Amino acid sequence: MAVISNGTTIFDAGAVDSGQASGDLVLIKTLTASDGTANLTFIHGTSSVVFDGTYDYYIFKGRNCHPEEDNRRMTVTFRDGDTNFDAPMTTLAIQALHQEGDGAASVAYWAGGDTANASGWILNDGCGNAANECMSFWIEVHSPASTTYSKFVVGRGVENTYNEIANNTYCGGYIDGAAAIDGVRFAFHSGDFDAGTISLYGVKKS
Amino acid sequence: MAIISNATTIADAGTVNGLGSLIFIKSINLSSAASNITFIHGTSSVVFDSTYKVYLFVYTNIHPASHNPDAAGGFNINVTTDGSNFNIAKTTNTLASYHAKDDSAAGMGLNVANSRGNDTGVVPLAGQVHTGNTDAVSGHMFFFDPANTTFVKHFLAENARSDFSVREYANHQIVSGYCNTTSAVTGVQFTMWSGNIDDGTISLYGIKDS
Repeated sequence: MAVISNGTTIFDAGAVDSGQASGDLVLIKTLTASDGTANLTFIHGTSSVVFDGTYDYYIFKGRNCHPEEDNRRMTVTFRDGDTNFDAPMTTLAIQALHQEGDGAASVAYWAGGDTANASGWILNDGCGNAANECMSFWIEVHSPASTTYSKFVVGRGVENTYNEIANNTYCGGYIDGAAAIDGVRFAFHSGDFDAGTISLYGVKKS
Repeated sequence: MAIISNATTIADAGTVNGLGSLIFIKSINLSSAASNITFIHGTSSVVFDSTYKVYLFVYTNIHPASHNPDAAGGFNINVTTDGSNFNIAKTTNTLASYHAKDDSAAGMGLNVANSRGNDTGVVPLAGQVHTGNTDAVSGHMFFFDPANTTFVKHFLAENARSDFSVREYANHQIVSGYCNTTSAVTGVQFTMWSGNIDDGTISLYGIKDS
């Protein structure tokens, strides 16, 4: 039985009618880390993950990522044709920081957070592992399935560092080469997660 | 007839509520080189008025037909209030950073050449983009309340690009500013600093506030 309101079909055949304006930010997959999780990995075609030409614009949002060990950086690596997460990237980073108690404050290019034709995009500097310390982030990945262009990424990380700094990282760059990207892995630069959630969204292109 | 469940209206007047708040409006994907990509309210199904208070443009793999070495701009926007003249004064600031693939150079700062002071010309969202086979620029821009007739109109853009002309730089640019007009802005045009856009896709979304 269809449900018709004001002359417009809004439900029929067990679904919202296609004529209804629907939300176009689509949650694809959420992964949650627990104590001892080495990484959170999204691979197209695995566990309901979509990361191909279905969308041109993907967004990852990570929240409350808490490392088991102190002073840890979140790194992002990409898979470009085989099982290795080692796609080469050239990235850059700007760091804006302010310490509790006004001890330090600055904004500058952060050479320690950039990548020159190597894998491992860095989203933050040194997240603490005290009970309430964590880092959160968002990144956008454009057209991972393109076999013409490099893959462009933009991101932002925010953290409570091990030495009580509010640290904001503005970062971006490109994954080199024309090979399609079909997987993304998030891991601390050493040690495991203790907690954290990362969600993948696709933004409809039609 | 409204459909009400647990005291909440879930459908009324022909519309279902709560299906999501980011709404796809229009995507333009170049099939051949063009001098610009333009979104005008009321043209070709484009909505760019008071329907939404915030709009999001997503630009992906914008690739120029010709490399322009002029550091003053690469990929640009301008806006219109009458649907045809793209000449509204804009004041912007640009935070730019760069890093060479061989690690030989890196830095950041205010990109004065890409910033504008009440300028009616184009505003660079990104600096020069090379024509190398894999070179392009991708990013996004939020545009706030274009139909407002009281305040200036703000926009925020952020993008990444490659420039393989010299050291295969990765570049990142954050652009923010305002269109200095109290007239409603009815359209946005994207262009290269010179020459055509050879390839690329730009999509427009509206973000609901109610």
